[in-house]
Amino acid sequence: MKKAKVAGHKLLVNSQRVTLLELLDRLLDKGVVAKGEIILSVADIDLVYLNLGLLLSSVKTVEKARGSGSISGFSTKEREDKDFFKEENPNISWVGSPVADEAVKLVKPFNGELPRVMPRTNIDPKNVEKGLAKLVLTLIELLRRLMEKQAIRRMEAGFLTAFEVERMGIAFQKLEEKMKYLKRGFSLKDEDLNLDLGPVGELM
Amino acid sequence: MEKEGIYAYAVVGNHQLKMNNIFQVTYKDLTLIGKMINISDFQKELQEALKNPKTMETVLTEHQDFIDRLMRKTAVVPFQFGTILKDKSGAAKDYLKASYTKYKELLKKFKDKQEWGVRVFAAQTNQEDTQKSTSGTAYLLRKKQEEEAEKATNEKLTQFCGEILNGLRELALEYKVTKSTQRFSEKGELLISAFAFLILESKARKFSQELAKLGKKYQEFGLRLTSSGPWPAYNFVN
Repeated sequence: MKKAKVAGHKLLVNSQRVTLLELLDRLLDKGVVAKGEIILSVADIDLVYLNLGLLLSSVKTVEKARGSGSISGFSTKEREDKDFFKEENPNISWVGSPVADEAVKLVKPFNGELPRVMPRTNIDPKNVEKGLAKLVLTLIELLRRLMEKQAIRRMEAGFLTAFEVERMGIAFQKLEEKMKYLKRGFSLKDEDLNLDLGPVGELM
Repeated sequence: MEKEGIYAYAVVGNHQLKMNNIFQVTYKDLTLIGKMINISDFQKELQEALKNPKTMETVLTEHQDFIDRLMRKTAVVPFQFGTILKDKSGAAKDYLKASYTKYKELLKKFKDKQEWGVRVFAAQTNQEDTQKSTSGTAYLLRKKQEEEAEKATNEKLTQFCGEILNGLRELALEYKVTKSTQRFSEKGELLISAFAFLILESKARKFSQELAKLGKKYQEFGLRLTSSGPWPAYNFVN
């Protein structure tokens, strides 16, 4: 936290990651955006912002995952690297979103060299699998929740017999258990099952 | 290599700035502050920096440090990071000329003002649901209760954030509800709201006192307020 101007130079350097995110929110997302012939757009700043934001926001999640000891067989250093880059890559959630197409565009100006912080550049087969599972499970989870809410509404409305309510409840309970099992299988957490729809907000 | 581009930091009113390694373009009583760079070198460096969050952090921090120093001397209108002007045949001057009125208005508005950011975080309570219902009906009833509890919590949080905003906006000239890439705090709390306030420098102390008061008040409801500043008025340039 920046407390006073006097402390000046070291304020941001020594501050927490939270402030770096605040810095990012301002430097890259705000300020005068000059347009016109004489202005050069260095890179697509919006995307640099999004990517770095995701990267930094994911640090906490990664630390949590590491704490749970879900990854074994690597030395601490290796584990940090692996874990970090796996988590920073939000892979599949970018597919089908407007950002995904933009992300591909962003990669182009970089002379074919793929920076590691960009999404969809890590072609580790394990990540692809996890990413695909994430997308599929997100959609299933959305449908499951919608249907479950619908079931609750019907139960409340009194349209259903006690027998029907019971059967429906058992079905949804089983569905929830199955989802938990699948999430565990792909090391996905509840918060992973969401899609950032840009200006619209998040899916769930 | 030829340095043909201006890496732009900010626009300020005419001012005797004693700062090293800066490049100034002046039009009437406006000055654009930047540094001369070689555009392709700069792009390569940025490309390298992007590969490593730590390096990018340094790049962004240095940029902000410079603007902080500038801000201590005079009112600034900051550019978005990464604004490069191709200063061929005095084009930067033309840019200032074309945007003269806009910058004059902003500089007047930002004189003796600061931007402060406030974020509201809520501790997360939703732990892994391990409960197992004894029957299908009990399951649906439990889900119904959870749904109602969640709705009540959301309503409460919205109400608290509204109250916090109201308490602080009284001390500000303007405020914005901002968006952020941040979703969680470093402690794992959920980001509920982010605000930016434009305040008079002379009110900064009062603002921070009010913030502390509100922080204390809402602590018992599981909320934590964080603040950052003073920033140049990034959120108020448009």
